[in-house]
Amino acid sequence: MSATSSPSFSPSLSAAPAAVALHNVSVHYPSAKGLVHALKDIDLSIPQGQIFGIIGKSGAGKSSLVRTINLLARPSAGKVLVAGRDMLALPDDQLRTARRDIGMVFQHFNLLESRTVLGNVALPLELVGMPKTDIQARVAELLDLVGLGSFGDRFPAQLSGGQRQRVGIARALASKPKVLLCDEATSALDPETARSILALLRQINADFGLTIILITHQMQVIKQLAHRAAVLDAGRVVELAEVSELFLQPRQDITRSLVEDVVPQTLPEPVAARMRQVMARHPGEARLLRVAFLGEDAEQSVLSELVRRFDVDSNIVHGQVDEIQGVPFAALTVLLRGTAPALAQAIAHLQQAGVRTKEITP
Amino acid sequence: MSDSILFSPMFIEVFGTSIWETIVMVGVSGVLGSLFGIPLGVYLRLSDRGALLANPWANSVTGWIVNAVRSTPFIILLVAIIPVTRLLSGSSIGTAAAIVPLTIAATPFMARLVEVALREVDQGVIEAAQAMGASTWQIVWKVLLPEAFPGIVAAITITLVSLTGYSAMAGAIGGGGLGDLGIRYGYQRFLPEVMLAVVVVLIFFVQAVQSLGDWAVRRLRHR
Repeated sequence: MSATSSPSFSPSLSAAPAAVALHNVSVHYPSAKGLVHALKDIDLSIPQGQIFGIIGKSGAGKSSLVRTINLLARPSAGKVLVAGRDMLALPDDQLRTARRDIGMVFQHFNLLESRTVLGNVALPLELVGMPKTDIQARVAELLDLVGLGSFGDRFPAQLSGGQRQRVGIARALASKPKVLLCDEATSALDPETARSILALLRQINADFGLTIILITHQMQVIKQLAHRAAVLDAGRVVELAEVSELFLQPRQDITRSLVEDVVPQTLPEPVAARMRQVMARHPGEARLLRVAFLGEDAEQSVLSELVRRFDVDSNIVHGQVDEIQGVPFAALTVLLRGTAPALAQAIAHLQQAGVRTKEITP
Repeated sequence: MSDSILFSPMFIEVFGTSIWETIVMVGVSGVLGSLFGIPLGVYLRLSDRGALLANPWANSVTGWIVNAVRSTPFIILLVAIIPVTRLLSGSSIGTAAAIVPLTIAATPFMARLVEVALREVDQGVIEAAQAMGASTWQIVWKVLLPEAFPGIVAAITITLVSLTGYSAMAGAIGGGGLGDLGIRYGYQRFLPEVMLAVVVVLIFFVQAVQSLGDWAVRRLRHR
């Protein structure tokens, strides 16, 4: 599934019940300095089968937000719906049953040291009183799924970080949840291991249509895994979009600074200095554009067409060509030179052609 | 040396009886102290602020009682609770009677050590169990106690060692055991070699308990 064809929050989809919906969720608690607002009026709707990312800097409220979904943190106000069920209205015993539909994977794995890999994965099944033979069969199946078939008798202390997280994932999937929550699931891992864990999560999403909600402070994780993402800042959702949109057209400063890690948002100073010189020398006859292409657009020769049709010179001064989950994209800074009317025409053409275009001053 | 009282058959029998009495006092009060102390420790942990059964008021009261018993010098506790001892064991002297104050001293001691061992269990593991839909009871039995088990074994070891010391004091009110032997023969009859023998045996006894406990903890801990 590509980023472009992933379900968006178009009206046609709202008919199907969202896997998870939060309505005006707020979390606040008293502290020595007065009331702390961890989350303010969060409204989110995550369709079945989507991988939804929540990104923010530390202290933005990500952990609180993901914990309101399974009520490990109880919202002070608002409504939490999981598979259409009003979580806050459930009495304790029904809440426990409902939690079995929500798997959770943790940054620090949170495995039981006293249990083997088998024992850890079996735990959620023991809790529901599944017969021993059924547990054995299910656990073997889960360990195969995460690629740890021969590690059943090891203790967590004998595993690497990546292997521990695989156990964590197998455990989270044991009760066949409808939603999987990932709390910084790859933040404690080295980049290569992190990639393999993200690949596993993507495969699980594709194979089982499992809805995944992941929180992270790394835009790389969003880029590799999420279909759609929300940017959280100071307890509020400040931006919510398809992941490709988020990368190619970040609207908020906080988003730009997060995206910066993956797609540079500013010109390096030497390039900027040179551009300032050029533009000072040719006032009105040089304009600097930031253009972004996605999918097939990235392969089209929009820029060379521009040169052919309008009497302008185009020069790529900085930029990046990459892919988001297999969809190519290009984010380029282009210097256009020509007469003022020709430049105006060329820019208008770019905008008409649907290319994300933004004029910048170096 | 051969005329020393230590090697007379009668004394060897007395010595053997004393060792046995010490083992009984320490063993039975250790088991009873664990039986009462472990649940009490679990309650202290669970009722703490922010914990699963948070109840700050009940937690403070329980904690205060535990501290009160722990801060009472054992020799005073021993005498102060004689009426209770008589009620429970039918007598205020003898090995059985000594078990009552020893158990009362061991319980809060054990409870605090167990509370500490339970606190060592990562909050994240408890959170994971909650996220799985575990009840409080299941969290205690399937997560907290098994995860803290090595720590609880270490706590039992320390309690047994402390009880060995206490049992010597219990000997002073007729509880029997090695401490009693040391005081009666070594101190009151002025037989320093008996005192020395008692101390040596106690040292070996404590070493054995501690080594066994450490070995068990190593075997149980999968870190």
